[in-house]
Amino acid sequence: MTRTALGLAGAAAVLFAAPAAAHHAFAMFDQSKVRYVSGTVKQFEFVNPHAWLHVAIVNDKGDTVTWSFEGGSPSQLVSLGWSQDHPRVGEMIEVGFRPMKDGSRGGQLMSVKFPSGQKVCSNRGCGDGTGEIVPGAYRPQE
Amino acid sequence: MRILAFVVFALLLAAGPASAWEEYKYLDQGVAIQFPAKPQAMKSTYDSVYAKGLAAMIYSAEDDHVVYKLTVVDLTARADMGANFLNEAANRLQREGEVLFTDFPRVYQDARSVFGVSLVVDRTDGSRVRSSLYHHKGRLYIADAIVLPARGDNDMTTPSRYDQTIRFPPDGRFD
Repeated sequence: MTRTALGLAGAAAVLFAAPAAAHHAFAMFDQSKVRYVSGTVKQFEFVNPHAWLHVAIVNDKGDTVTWSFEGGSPSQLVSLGWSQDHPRVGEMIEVGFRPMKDGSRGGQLMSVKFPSGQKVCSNRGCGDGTGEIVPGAYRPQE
Repeated sequence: MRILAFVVFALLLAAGPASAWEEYKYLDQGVAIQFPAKPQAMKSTYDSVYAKGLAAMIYSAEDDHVVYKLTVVDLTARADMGANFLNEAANRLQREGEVLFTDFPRVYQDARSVFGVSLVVDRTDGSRVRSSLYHHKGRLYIADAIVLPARGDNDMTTPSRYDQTIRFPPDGRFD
């Protein structure tokens, strides 16, 4: 059991070894605003160095298109209530995000609100002045 | 001890399955970047107004009508001209079509920072390229994500994901 536990601990250490601070700048996102869109979770990649949430959203033309949102690392998000299946594929959610400056469909993932009313926020807060800043994850110059 | 094993196992599950995106490390080129599919490696040459036939490596993969390509140009013979090579490459790119967006990305932080330039260009052939260029330790790195006309969706976010995954080993080796 001891060997098994140590082996699993080692593997976990590798998985969660992503740097606590972002490895790249977040200047490509418009930090002056937070937008909200609603849709269905298509895929949630709970991976290093950054999690990615893909959401199917019906646009104003009635077409379903995929939006993609970049979050923190799993090691940062897990302490804030996120997990591999939370949000889950197929769930209807509302996403709060800082939009891409280049106009593409996506942005910096700030929050997810579930139909139950539960809300999980990013490691940089919810974007509306609330939420927790995970230590080591936020640098003002970003 | 059983509790510890359970907690660790739960953390492993929480990390989830690996994405189709996978990081490829090119230690000999001083760079790592993620691709959505296994890239092909090809020796090439790079022409500049400053020098012809510079040794280069190209790593590329295509996924769902988007081409992801990393070009690494060896500038060791002209290390003093690095900024000019980078700006020349950006200048060429902006001439390929309409420039939609320009950014100056940063990899790492503080004294380890490596700064570059990104452009998003709608080319005359209907493709859209998002290109990020860096000059670092005697090499020019050009990370292109090209949305082909067949994809029919130039506003997809995936191209920006590609160039955001690039990293350079600050101390000469990867973590």
